[in-house]
Amino acid sequence: MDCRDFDYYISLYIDKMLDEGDKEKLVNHLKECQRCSEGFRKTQQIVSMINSLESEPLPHDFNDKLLGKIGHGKRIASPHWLRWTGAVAGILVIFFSIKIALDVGVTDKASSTATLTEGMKGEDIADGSELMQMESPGEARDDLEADSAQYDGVEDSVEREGIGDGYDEEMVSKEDSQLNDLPRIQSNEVEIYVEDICITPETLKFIAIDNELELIESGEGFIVIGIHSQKERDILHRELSKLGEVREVGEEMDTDQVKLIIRAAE
Amino acid sequence: MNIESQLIERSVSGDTDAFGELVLLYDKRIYNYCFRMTNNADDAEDLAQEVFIKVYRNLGSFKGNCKFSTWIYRIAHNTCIDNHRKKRFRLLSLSLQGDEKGEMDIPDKGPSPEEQIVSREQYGLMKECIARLKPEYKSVIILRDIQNYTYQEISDILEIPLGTVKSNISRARALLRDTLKSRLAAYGERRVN
Repeated sequence: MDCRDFDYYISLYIDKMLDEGDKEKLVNHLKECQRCSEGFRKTQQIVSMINSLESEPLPHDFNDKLLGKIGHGKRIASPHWLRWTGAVAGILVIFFSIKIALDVGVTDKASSTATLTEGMKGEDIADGSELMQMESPGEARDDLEADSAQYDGVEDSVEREGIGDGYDEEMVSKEDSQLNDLPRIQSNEVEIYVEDICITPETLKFIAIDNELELIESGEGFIVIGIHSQKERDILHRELSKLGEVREVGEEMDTDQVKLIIRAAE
Repeated sequence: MNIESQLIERSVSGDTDAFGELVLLYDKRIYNYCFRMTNNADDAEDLAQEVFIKVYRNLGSFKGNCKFSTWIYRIAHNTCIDNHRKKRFRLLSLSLQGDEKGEMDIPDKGPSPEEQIVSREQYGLMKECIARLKPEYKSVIILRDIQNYTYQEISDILEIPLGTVKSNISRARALLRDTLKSRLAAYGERRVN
């Protein structure tokens, strides 16, 4: 261990982060090495000086300016979880509404033309073969006058949440995932659509380092990773999926480099 | 629910007064973080404003997985880093790379001329040295030695491993110590001459 290694210990010692064994090594070394002893004293002085640096005063109109900008700015986006909770609730409502319609014996299959039911594509839904044969919620309501009050409430909530659109999106996404249902990255370019603005190329770098993937290059909004095995493709897919929606956009397959591009989710 | 959580909830509901109060809890710290990262009052003001606007627009996506302070500092750090990248060419033209690489020689032993120099000048040089650190060293020094965050909090804010925080703090301090010493020595020589 040379003197430069002791800088690490000196800094940790100042912050009381050094364990007893290393503290003893440091103290013994400082007794013997005048240069490190001087370095220790100077480092303490530096930390003390930085600690005592005065805060810069906030510009006097900082808050007024900010609130002025916000007053004319974009509204806070509704929370991601709230949007999805609404969507899931809407889907459940539709499911149970259809179930009610079945239970009361509605059997007019010829009128099954509702857009929503068509959008569901049957096979994507649990018990899809049964549901494929069902009426639209609107027509079921016509036959369920006795439950109309409850049903109206259901439809209103569906309209408020815009579930029709949300559900269609989910179906499209499911189809995409079926097409790309291979748990590994295959093409040479991947886009990750992230909701969290804190996810940056730095985040990808740390994922690469943590998973022992080769980091080749990084730039504005992207990094390039070296891939040397199928297992690494699996790992990359698994880790990127945690950040957001992964879309393979590259045209070349099974190359030894993959460019990862961060995109903001809509 | 603490005051901060209440303010966040009200802000998400569109209450700009609540957001104004939330800003008051962090404005000085975030402005000072941006100031030390840029060493420029105008840039710091613009960046801190940008940080709070990002916070306002994305408050709905704050999931509470980390502390709010961690989240807001992370946004501040990323905003400063983006700004640094945009200005990289200008910074490079200032030829500060020698200082940043940490390859400066430690001056020979001898009397410490810095002892003779008044404290105000030392502080001026100290600020200059901090301003010239590269961003990964500057950010840990600001968070640890100016704003008193713990190593773990710094690791969470910057999203870097704890070991990296330790080594970056250590390197940054050693670099500041050696750079300041050599600058003070040069300054002392100029005064003598």
